Amino acid sequence: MPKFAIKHIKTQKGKMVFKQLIILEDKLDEIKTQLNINECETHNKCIDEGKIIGEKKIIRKGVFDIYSEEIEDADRHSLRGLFTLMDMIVDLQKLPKKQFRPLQPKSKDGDFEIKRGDLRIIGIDIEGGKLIIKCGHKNTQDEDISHFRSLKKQYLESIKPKKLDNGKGRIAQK
Amino acid sequence: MEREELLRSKEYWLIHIQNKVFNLLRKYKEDKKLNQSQLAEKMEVTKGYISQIMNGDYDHKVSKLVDLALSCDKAPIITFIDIDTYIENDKKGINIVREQISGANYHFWLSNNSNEFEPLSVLTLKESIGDSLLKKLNSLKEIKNVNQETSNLDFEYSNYSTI
Repeated sequence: MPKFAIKHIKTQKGKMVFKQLIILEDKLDEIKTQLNINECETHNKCIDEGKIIGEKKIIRKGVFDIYSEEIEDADRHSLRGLFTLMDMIVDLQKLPKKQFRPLQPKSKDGDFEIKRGDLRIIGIDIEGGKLIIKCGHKNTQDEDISHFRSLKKQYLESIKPKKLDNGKGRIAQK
Repeated sequence: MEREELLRSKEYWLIHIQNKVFNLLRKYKEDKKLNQSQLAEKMEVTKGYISQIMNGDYDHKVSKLVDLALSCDKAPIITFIDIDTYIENDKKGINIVREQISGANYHFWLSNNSNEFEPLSVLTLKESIGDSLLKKLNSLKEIKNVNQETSNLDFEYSNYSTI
């Protein structure tokens, strides 16, 4: 089961925020990593900079960071378009369905897709905004949506509060 | 991508204008309870043309933009502001646009950080008074409530009216 953290995308300004999923390496502690990220974001330090303590990096790249870096020159104008659409979304502006639409079938998690040119980003609603879970392209849309659904399920499972269980179906005492 | 880089990009402003045209027609269509065919007929354009606009793909002649605005009973007011000033004000959460309307009178559009740019206050001021207001507002590090700030300023309002 992969481990996750989430971090802010700071380019947008508006009435809500965009965040992105970070898929962590097995050896990392997800709670400590998330606390480090929250600390860095709150004090406006460590954003997009790796800081090494021992062998662990505090700030990891999210799915959208990696996607943005890998975009080829021919698609960079579409990437700027995606950033612009995200900016309008956090500002609660209405957009054409061709650019921003709920995924079908509709889910209680508010699955959405943002499109610009051949680029696609897919995510869910979270408290205070939107979370990007998967980024892809027009010609891999079906696989991307399938992968998104799988990642979403794993992420939502990972953030569920866990009961202490002594293996016999009873809550263990601390 | 840094926000400043985004605000200096062609795509940002193009998409915003396309979105304004989309929302212009969308609101008109909803208010008049028209379907897409009826809207096309009213605008005297093809259904395909309307479809392009409703998909956010508008990139046509300026004269057509004027036609569309007037058909929706709107005046297509277009204004340009210094990009560096816009970016500075964006950091503060406000935008201030000065626009000459006649002679020595100016409109000052004060809006929140919404890219939709619906003005919160519009003041018609003589140039000397308007410049003084603009200077005071620009000197503020952050403007949380535009209306509150303009009423707080120690200012001679003898020659202004609000719209």
